[in-house]
Amino acid sequence: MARTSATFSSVHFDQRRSLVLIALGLITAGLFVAAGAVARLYQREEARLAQFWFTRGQQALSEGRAEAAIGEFRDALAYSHSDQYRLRLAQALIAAGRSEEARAHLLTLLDSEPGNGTVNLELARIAAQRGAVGRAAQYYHNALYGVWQDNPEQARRNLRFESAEFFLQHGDATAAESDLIPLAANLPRDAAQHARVAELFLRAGDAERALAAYRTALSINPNYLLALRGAGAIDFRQGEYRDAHHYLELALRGDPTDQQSRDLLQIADLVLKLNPFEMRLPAVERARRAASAFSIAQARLTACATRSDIDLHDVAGTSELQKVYSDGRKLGTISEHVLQRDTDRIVVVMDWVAAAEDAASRLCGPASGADLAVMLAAKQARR
Amino acid sequence: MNEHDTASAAINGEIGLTAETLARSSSHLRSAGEDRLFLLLAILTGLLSGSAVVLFQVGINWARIALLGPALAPAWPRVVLAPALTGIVVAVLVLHLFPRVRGSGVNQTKAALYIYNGHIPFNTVVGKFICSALAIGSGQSLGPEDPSLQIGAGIASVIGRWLRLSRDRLRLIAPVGAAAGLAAAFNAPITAVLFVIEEVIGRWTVGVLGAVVLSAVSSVVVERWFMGSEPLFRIPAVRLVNPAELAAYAALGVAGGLASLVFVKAIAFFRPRLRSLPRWTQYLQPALAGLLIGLIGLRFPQVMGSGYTYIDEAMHGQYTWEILGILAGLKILSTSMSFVSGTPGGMFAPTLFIGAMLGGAVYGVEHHFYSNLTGSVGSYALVGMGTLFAGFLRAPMTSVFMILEVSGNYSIILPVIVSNAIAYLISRAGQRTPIFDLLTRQDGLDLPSMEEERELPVLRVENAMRPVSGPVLRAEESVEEALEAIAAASQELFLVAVRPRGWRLLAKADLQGAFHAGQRARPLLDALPAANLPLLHPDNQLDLALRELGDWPLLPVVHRADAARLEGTISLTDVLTAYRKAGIGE
Repeated sequence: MARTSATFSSVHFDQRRSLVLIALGLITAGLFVAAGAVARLYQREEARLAQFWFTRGQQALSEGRAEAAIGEFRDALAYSHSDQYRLRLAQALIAAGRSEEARAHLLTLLDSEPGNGTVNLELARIAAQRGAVGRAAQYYHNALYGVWQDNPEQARRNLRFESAEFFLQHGDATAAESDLIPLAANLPRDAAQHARVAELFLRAGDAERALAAYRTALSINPNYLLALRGAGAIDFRQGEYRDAHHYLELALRGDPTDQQSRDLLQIADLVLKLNPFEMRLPAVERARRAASAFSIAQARLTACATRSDIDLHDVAGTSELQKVYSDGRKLGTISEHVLQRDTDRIVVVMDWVAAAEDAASRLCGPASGADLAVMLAAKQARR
Repeated sequence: MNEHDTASAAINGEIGLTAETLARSSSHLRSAGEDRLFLLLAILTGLLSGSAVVLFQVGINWARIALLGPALAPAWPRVVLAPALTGIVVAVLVLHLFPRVRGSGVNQTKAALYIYNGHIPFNTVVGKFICSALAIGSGQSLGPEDPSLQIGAGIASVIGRWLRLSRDRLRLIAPVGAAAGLAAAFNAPITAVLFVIEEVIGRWTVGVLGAVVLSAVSSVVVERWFMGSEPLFRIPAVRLVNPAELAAYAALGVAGGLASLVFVKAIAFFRPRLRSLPRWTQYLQPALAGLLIGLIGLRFPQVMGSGYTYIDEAMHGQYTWEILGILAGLKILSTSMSFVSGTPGGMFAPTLFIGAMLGGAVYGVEHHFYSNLTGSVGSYALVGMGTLFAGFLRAPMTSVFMILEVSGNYSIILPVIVSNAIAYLISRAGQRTPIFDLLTRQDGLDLPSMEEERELPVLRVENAMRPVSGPVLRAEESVEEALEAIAAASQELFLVAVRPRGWRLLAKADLQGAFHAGQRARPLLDALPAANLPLLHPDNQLDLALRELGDWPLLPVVHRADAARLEGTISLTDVLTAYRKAGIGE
C-alpha cells in the first residue's frame, strides 16, 4: 500500500509539474509579447528623438553653424546608429574643420558600405588635405564607381571635375586626363561646363582637346566669353591666326576691357597683315611682305646691336648678332623687286628674319609689335 | 488463513509488485526526464530572461529620458538633482523593500549557488529591476549587465522552485539563468557562457555547458528579435602592419593593469568603511554619491550612466587624449562612489568605459612620440576595454572573446591577448584577491574563489604512485611456479597480468591455500577473482584514483599505449600521503 501511495504521489507530482510547465509556457509567451510591445513603443520614441535631433542638425548645418550641428547629430546618433546620421555628423565635422574625427566616422561607414560614393568622396578630400596622394586617388576612384543615391550622373560629373583638379594640383596630367576625356564626352549641353573642361585640358597640356572643348562650348553659346578667349588664345599659340583673330575679336566685343585678348588680337592682326605665307596672296604682295619683314628684322638687329654696343660690321666678331647680320649680308640685296623675281628666296629671307628676331630677343628682350608679328610669321612657315 | 485471505494477499502482492515495478520504471524515466526537462527549462529560462532584460534595458532608457532629458548633455539642474534625489528613493527601496539588491549581482548569484542552494527570492528580481533601472537611468555611474545577470539567475531560481527541482538541479539552474541574463545584456552569448563558467560555476561538464549555452542562445535570440543584432561598437577593421606595434599595446596593458589596481583598491578601501557607518547614513549615501557624480557631470556628463554612447565617441576620435585620460580617472572615481554607496548596479559597463578612455589616452600619448602607429584611437580604445576587463574583473578568457563579440572585429585579437595578459598579471601581482572575492569576504561570506581554485596544484597519479616492487605474476603460470616466484618477496599482495590487457590481485595466502589443496599445477587464472582491476594511468587526476580505489587495497598504474605495461602501483595510503605533501586539507 505504501508503495502504491508513493506511486500515486509520483503521478500527482508529474501532473503538477506538467501544469507548472504549461503555466510557465504561458507566462513566457506573455512576457515575450509584453517585451515586444514595450520595445516597439520605445523604439518609436527613439526614432522620433533621433529624427528630431537630426532635423535640428540639418538646419544648423544649412545655416553654417557647424559646431551646433555636430552636437545635434551626436544626439541623433545616440538614439539611432543610422549610417545616414553618422554620415551627416562626419560632414558637419568636416565643415567645422575637424577632419580627423570625421575620418574616423567615415572609415566606420566605409566598413559597412565600401561602395558608398559620398563616403569615399569625403575620405578622398580628407586624404588630399593630409597630403596622402595615393590614398586620395584610390578613394576618388572608388567614389567614381560607387553608389550615389541622388542624381548619380551629376554627382559623378562633379566628382570627375574635382578629381581632375586634384591630379593637376599634384602634377599628374595623365591621371587628370583619364577623368577629363570621359567627362568631356558626357557633359550636358552646358557651355560653362565644357569651358571648364577645356581649361582643365589646357592645364594638363592638351591644347587640342582644350580647343575642341572650347569650340563645343561655343557651339552651344557662341557668345560665351570664356570660351572665346580660350579658343582665341589656343589658336594664337598654335599659329592659327585667322581663327584666333576671329575669336579674339568676338571676345573683345563682349568685353572691351579684356586687355589680354586685345594684345593677342593686335599681334594676330599684325601677323595676318605681315605674313608673306598667308594663303591666296598675290606674288607682288607676298614679295612686299617678305621685304617688309626683312627690313623690320634688320632694323631690330641694328637697334639691338647699338644698344648692346656691338659693331655689326666687325667680320671677326663672334657674337650671335654679328653672325646673323653677316648671314643677312650674304643674302644680298633684298627688295620687293628682287623677291618678286625669285620667290624661292622668300623662304630663306623669312628664315633669316626668324633667326634675327630670335638673336635680338635673346640679347635685348622679347620682341613686340611688328617684330613679334614677323617672328611668329617666320616660325609658322618653319612648322 | 482461509482461501479468500490467501487470494487477497496474492492479489495485493501482485499489485504491490506491479506498483514497485512501475515506481522503479517511473524513477528511471524521471531521471532521464529530469535531464530533458532541465534542457527545456534552460530554453524557457533563456526566453524569459531575454524578455526581462529587454524590458530592463528599455526601463533604463525611459528612466534616463524622464530624469535627465533626451539630450546627451542634459540641463544642469537635472544633472545635479536627478542622481541625488533618485539616490534617496533607491536607498529607501533597498533598505525597506529589497534588502538583497545591493551590489552588482554577480556575488549575490554565487552566494545563491553555494550557500542558499540556488535560492533567489522573486522580490530580489523585482527589486533589482526597479532599483538598478532608476539608479542607472538617473546617472549613477553603474552598468546594466551585472543586474541583468542577477535578474536572469533569479528568474531561473523561481522556475526551479516552482517545478520542485532536486537540490543539485536547483543549484545549477541559477547560473543557467545568469548566463541568459548576461548574454542578453551584452548581446554576446559566448561572453556570457564563458563568464559564468569562468567566474560563477568554475567548471565544465557536458550537462552544465549544454544548459548554459541553450539559455544564453535563447535569450540572445529574444534580445536581437526586439533590439536588433548590431554589435555594441563599430570600429573600422584594424590591420597589424608591423608586429613591433604590439609593444604599443603592451604599454596599454601596463597602464590598464595599474588602473585596475587603483580601481580595486579604491573600492576595497571605501566600501567597508561606508558600510560601518550608522544605518541612517545609508539612506543618504546613494544620494551623496549621486550629487557628487552630478557635480562632476556638469563639466563631464560622459561619466554619468553606463557610458556606451561616449565609448563610441571616444572610438571615433571625438576627444583629445588629455580629455580621455581625465574621463578614465573620473569614471574610476564616480563608479567607486556609486558602488561603495550601496547603489544597485553593475561594474561591467564602467569597466569598459574606463578601458576605452584609457586606451584612447595611451594611443594619444604614443602617437605623439611615434606618429607611425598604424592603429587608430578606435583600436586602442577597443583593446583598452578588454584590458580593463581582464585586469579589474580578472576574467582573462572572457575578456578576449568579449572584445571579439562586441565589436565583430577579429583583426584585433593579437593586441587584445597581449594587452589583457599583461594587465592581468600586473593586477594579480598588486592585488592577490580578485574584486568579486574581495567583496564577498567583506560581506562575511566564504564563497569559493574560481581564480584560487584554478591556482590549486593539480595532483596526478604519478605524484602518488610507487614503483613496482616484487614479482609480477602471469595468469598462465601454475600455482607452484607462482609460489616459487614470490618465495623471496615480503609483500602479501601480488599483481597478476591477465592477457590481453587485464590485471588482477592475488593474495599470498590464497596462493598458499591453493597449493596446500593440491592445486599446484593449476593455472593461476583459475584461482584469481573473476573481475579485472580498474586501471589507472600516470596522468590521471588523483581524485579519480581515490574513486577507483574504493575497497581495493592496491591498483595497477599502466601505460596508456600498452595496458600490459605496468608503470607502478597505487594504494589509498599513497594517495593520502601525496595530498598531505601538497598541503591540501591542512
